[in-house]
Amino acid sequence: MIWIFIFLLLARPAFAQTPTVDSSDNIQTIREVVQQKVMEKLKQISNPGSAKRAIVGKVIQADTSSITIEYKNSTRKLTLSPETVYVSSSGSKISLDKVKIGQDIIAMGLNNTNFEAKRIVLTDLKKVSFSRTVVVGKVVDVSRTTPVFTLISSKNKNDLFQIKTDTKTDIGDKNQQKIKLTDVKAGQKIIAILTPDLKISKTYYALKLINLDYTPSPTPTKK
Amino acid sequence: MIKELFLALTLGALLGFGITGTYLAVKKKPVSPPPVAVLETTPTPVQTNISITPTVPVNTNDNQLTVDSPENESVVTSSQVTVKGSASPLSTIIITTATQTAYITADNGGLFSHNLTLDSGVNLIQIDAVDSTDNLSTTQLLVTYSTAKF
Repeated sequence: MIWIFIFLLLARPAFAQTPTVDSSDNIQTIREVVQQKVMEKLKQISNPGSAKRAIVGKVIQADTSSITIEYKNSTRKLTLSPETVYVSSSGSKISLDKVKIGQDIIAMGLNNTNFEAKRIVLTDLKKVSFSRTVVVGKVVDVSRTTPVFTLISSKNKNDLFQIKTDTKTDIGDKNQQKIKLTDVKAGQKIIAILTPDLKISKTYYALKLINLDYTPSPTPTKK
Repeated sequence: MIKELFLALTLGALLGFGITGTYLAVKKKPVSPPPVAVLETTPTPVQTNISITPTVPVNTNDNQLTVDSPENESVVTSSQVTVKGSASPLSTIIITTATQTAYITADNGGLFSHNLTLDSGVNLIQIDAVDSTDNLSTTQLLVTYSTAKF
């Protein structure tokens, strides 16, 4: 009896220890998570078309089962299903018959063999599109009377750009420090982000100028 | 009687300590995982590269711009996206949307990254890269910011 009592007394702490979380369990959990992520990514890579996509374009054909859209001279066919949702530009739900030929749309869905449209939103692509010209070249002339300068393209010496600036034009150096238009001198290399002046050929408004050759003048020190 | 009790206590203690000591010794001994388990759980280098840290390829060609993210025609559920890609080393990268224009410089490996705030709906993003010899590369992406479920 005493034997059993002593044995239990001494042996109990050894058997009654609370199970500790083994570090190998944590490693195994991490490995499983990593493996799961790898499988997801591989699945995504091997079948990229199954991802959710949004495409835009102008409707050139529409019937109850499909819509064909055109964007930048390329056409895409969208397949429709009873679950496809149609939404107006204000966000309210509409029916398919409101999607007319000539209407700009955003189609969201799954890009498989055909594009399976799940949600079609009426939009105006003019609000999305913009015209930006990026030119890199040398300043050849800076007007002293007007905020205009002339840039010659680095890659085509025959390409001359009349560039107008205004108070909205953002001018900086290559280190993103703001500089003034008066810091733009003839002979300097500049990257200009421009929008065309629709009234005058080869004339542009400068949205942003990056002066690659600007070096700040040293600050005079007091003697 | 006392003798017997003492003997019982001694034997009991020896037996108890013996069992406890053996148990602890066995528990402390590191158990190496079976070889099959190692083979199954060690990720191959390819899997590691793809899944955990997608590497951005460094561009070695001049005048070549690659945008790794966001993908063209992708749908994002957050207005904040990071434009990541590669171009020639130290290229000036200009990122333009309908409402914003920003520029950054690619690093020595040609990699660049810029956080962009999207407008609701479709966003046209134009990315231009100007390298050290004034070569210009341009690419455009359509990225839709929408929280609608579909």
